[in-house]
Amino acid sequence: MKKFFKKSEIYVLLIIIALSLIIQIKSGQFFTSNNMVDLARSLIVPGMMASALFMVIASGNIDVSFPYTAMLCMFSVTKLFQTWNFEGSILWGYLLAALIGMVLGIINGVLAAWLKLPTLIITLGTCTAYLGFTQGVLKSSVISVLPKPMADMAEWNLFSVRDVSSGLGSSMPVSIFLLIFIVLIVALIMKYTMLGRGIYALGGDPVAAERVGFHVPLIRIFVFAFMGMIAGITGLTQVTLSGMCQINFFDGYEMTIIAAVVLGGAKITGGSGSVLGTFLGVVLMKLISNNLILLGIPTNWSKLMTGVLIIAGVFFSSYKEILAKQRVNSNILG
Amino acid sequence: MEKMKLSKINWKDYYNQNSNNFKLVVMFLLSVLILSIITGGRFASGRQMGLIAYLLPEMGVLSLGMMLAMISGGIDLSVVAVADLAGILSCIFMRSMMPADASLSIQIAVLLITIIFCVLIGAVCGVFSGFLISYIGIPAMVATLGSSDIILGIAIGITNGSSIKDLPAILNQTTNYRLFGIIPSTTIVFGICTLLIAFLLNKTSLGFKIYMIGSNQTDFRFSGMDSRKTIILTYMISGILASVSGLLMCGHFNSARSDFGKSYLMPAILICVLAGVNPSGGKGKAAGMVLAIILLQTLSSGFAMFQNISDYYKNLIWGLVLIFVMILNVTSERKRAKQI
Repeated sequence: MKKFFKKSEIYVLLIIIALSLIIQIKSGQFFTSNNMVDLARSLIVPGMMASALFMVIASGNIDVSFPYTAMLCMFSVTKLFQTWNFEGSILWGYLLAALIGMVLGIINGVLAAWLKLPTLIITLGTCTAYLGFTQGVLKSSVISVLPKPMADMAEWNLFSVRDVSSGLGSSMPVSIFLLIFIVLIVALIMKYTMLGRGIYALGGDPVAAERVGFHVPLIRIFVFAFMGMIAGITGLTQVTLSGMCQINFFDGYEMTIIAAVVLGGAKITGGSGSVLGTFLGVVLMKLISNNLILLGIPTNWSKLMTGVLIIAGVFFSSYKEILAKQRVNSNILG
Repeated sequence: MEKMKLSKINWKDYYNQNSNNFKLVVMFLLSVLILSIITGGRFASGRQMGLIAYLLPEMGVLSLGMMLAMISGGIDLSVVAVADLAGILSCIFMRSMMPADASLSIQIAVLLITIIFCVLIGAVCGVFSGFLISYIGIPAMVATLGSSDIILGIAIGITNGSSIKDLPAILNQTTNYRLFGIIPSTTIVFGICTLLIAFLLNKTSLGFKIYMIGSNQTDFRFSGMDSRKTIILTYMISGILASVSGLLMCGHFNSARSDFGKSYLMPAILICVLAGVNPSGGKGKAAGMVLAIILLQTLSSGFAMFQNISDYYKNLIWGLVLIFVMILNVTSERKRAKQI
């Protein structure tokens, strides 16, 4: 029981429950069927990205290029389908997006493993290049008429709900299975495979991981490639969710997703955290950004709330650590 | 004979110490040469150089702050947010302070008070980030990411995302003023900031400490010094520089908005890496910064002269340049390490 309360996930969960109760009491519209479906729907894209990014962060790296990878994949696949007049299965689209994303991710990974510079700066460089490529070479801004396979996918819903009192309807897209699938995959890799152990070890201490016998460069490349792959899939999912392509879909996503992962209890220096925590972090972020209006706070202040959340999320764990370090130091010196 | 040999060795040492700066000068001269050949001499004109000098300071002052944070082994992602908030608040402040039909001397006095106010805001924001990093122990990236969201959030909340217009004319007049008709006043501000930072890094104990923290924080603490104060001061200065840059932006656009600085973060980091600042900390010089900023601004206004290259390709090229420079720096450094 004591161990149970030591986990940071439980606090995130408690905050989520408290917050949803507050929203429910203040507006009475939180636990309505359409609001819940809307929440689930808005979780799909950030949830997928965050679970992959959690892997990168757990390995002690950071990636800010994934929204741009997603953007590039989304536009290139849609454009290719348009020029080919492709009418086959949407699966090919996902495969293609995953492939392009993986190549872009491997570029990040190879650079990170080779240069050994802070990955924030490496991926900042590649993300600018990807953005420039999408805007300049692909000449993309908006695609409003989707090719047939994607348009079909956009229409394909599991079920629809309609709230009787407010008359608002929402439908649950099939892509929710993708989210569940990816979260499960990441959880499996991190928990039950040697690779997952290697990722945690690399995040904890790269030198030690190497001494133990993990192939550090390969692990690095794997995390970035996986991130790129998921980003590609996510890009296409976003298209099918919104029924169009737009260049600003993922504006500022990198920071929001990083914040969600950090909120979920993963240390930015690597070596800790869990997929469950990450997922809860995403839920909390979305809960706030979706429901600020229900709480009576103007949306202009949502950015401030995110910032406060990030700082609050890391405040106590960091402070505890620094106190522990001071105690050790004073024992040595005194 | 003996003397000549000595001076030769000194030259070699000097080159080794500043090889990056020499590379930058060569790159700058090459790019100016190539650009003026392509444009048929239009590029090398005095007007074009004046334009470069006019556009460079906002970027430059912002990057100087980023450099300090990077030398200390961290990174300051909040510079852009600080610039925006400081610009917005000081514009509001200035508008409310300025009496209608004030005389010139009163206008200048109000401008000076605004500058002090602006610098104070930057300092407070910087101290906030620095406090989170040093006393709470949050890694610099997360701390400045969070504080950036908070600071920008305040800026958006205050302005509702719209811009602040109808500023007193004195601000725009000052930033557009040219000394002797050639040197823009903003360039002078940039020059003063660079000189101050160069002095700080090379001649003061604080500068020495910033380098030491970046090289090895554990050693620094075990040599009995308080790293916390130094880090707070570092981020405070970074915040002050960012706020100055914010005020320059407001003067340039003659308005203030919460998303003016948005596109500046990436180039600021690019400039630092180009200037030879080590992203892991402990290395970097103000002189390199000046050269890197001039080089980047030259390239960027060079691109702007070709209408058929869309603005979007600029991103692609900057990203590729950043990666290329990093590869170059790392490989040359490894080669040097092997030789020793």
